[in-house]
Amino acid sequence: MMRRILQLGLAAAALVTGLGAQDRDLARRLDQARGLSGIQGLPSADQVSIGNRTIAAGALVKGPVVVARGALEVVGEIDGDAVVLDGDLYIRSGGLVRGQAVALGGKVELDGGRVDGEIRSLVTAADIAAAAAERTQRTRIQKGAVLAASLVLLLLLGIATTLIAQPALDGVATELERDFGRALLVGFLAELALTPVLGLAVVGLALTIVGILLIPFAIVAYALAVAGLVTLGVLGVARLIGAALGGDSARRLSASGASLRAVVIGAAVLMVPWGLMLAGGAVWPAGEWLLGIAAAGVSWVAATAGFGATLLSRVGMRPVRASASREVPVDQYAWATPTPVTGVAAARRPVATSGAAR
Amino acid sequence: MASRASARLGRGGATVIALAGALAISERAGAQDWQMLEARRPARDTQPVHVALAYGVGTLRLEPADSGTLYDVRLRYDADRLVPTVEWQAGTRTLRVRTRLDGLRLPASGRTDLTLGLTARAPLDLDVQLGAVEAELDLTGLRVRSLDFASGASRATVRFDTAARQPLERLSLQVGAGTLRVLGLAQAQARRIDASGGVGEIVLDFAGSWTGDVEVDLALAIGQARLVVPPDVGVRVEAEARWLNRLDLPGFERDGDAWVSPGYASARRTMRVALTSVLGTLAIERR
Repeated sequence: MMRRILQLGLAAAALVTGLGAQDRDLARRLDQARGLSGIQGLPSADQVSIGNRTIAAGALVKGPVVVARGALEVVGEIDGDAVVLDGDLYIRSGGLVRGQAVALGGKVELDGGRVDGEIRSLVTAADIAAAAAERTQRTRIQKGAVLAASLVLLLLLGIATTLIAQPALDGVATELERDFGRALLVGFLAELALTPVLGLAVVGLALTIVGILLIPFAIVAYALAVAGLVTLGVLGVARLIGAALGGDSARRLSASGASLRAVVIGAAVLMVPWGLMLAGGAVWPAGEWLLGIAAAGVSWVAATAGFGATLLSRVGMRPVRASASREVPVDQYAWATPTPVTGVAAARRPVATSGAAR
Repeated sequence: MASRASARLGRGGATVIALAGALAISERAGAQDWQMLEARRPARDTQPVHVALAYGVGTLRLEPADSGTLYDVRLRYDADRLVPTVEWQAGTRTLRVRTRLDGLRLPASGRTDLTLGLTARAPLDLDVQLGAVEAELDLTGLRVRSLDFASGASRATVRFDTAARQPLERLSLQVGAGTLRVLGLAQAQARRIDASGGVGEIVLDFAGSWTGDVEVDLALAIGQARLVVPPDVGVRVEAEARWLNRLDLPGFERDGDAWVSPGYASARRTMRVALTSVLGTLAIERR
């Protein structure tokens, strides 16, 4: 029993000591705020709001308003000074501070509001570094979200395209497989021609007078068409990559299933450079831009080659050309070698085969 | 034996004290508390503003502030060594920006940076005193009514890149051991310039469109002054004929106690330079 009482007493003493230290720290910060701002009418430590506080829209509060260890958001009006100790001060649209706006250990952000007096802030280098690190982290999370959203979008488009327009996807993938370099070159040239073609289309419509009204629609339709072609091309590249990496297990699937599987794998692979950029940036921030350039390069090659393949395959609708199934000349009678008297095992008569099929 | 022991003890004690002192100094020297002080005030009117800036060591950039801002002070400093003051006196409409060393401190390993933005809407009277500062005063677009500039061992550039919206009624320049370059001085529309140099160098470049005649009162100890003047401006130099001075006035002719540039009498715009010097050098460039 005595031991328990002793423990409780020690805990209470520690609490009181801790609170006393906090009060002393707050009083010290108030003194610093007086020195920083020259405001003499600041309240004592026990009249300071601890934690976040908002002056709501339409509210009128007599100043000075002092907040410690939290943010002060002003949407209403403070008739006097606003002071924040170890936190940020936001003056939002419609907010008004008739005196000074002071942040000690934080920033003052004028977000559409008004301050009649001086705006003053003092932050330590550590605070600045911490804020910069927080911003970097936030940016990285945002980039990660954009990357995840892009992957999901690409997967959804891949699934939809496989289900709805698999022949087109197959055609683009076949064109890429046949000659990737040619597809890349054609895609690059087509990218160069995009703007002139649009310009010609606009001029053509303008010349017809009546067509002038159609120009905005034509521009939108053109942009959508190009976006669609590029997307189909990228999915074609994804399918090609996925098929190459898919292994033998795809053989057990139906044609649609194998195609879908390949698109999913390929889309994920196409996002890998961007994921590496984010992961690499976390470890080596200075190299993030370098990895970003590499990722952008990979994506550009994929998009350009895919675009080119889409055009070459006429959106995947072009039939397989003769060149792809060029007949290999065979000696019609080669199979019919002179038969020795003892006889030979029967051989199958050769048939003409395509180069692509070999 | 005892005396030797006490002597050893004394040496040991002195060593301990010296070590402790060195540790204390090194700790003090190493202690840094870098902070960023920002102070800005919205501009509510266009009444004249007086700015008194006294800045010891670091870099300085003075520039026009955003529209709607009267002043915008941003100072990065080591709070362990420097005590800054930024105060606005509403009655006299005076902005005082000062930095003061906090006792005897070794120089900080980082750099103190001050950026001072000033309103372009109100006439300004600037009083700038610099110690050892790398300074860039971009007064382009500001309505500077007077400028009193004094520097110790600073390297400073003052520039007027476009024609001033307000004639510079008073321009006083004092340079100790550093360098001062004033560029586009004709744009400032200053009629009279007082400049003095100790052992430093003063460059006054009068590029820009001239709107009137100019008088330069130049006092040099052992420093040098270089005046860059457009060829179509007539220049007259009145210097005390001390043989220790050096005058570099290409093409100038003697006219009594003075030297005048060719065509001075018929020049549309003229400059008169009055030189007082001990061991100084005055050079005039025509371009």
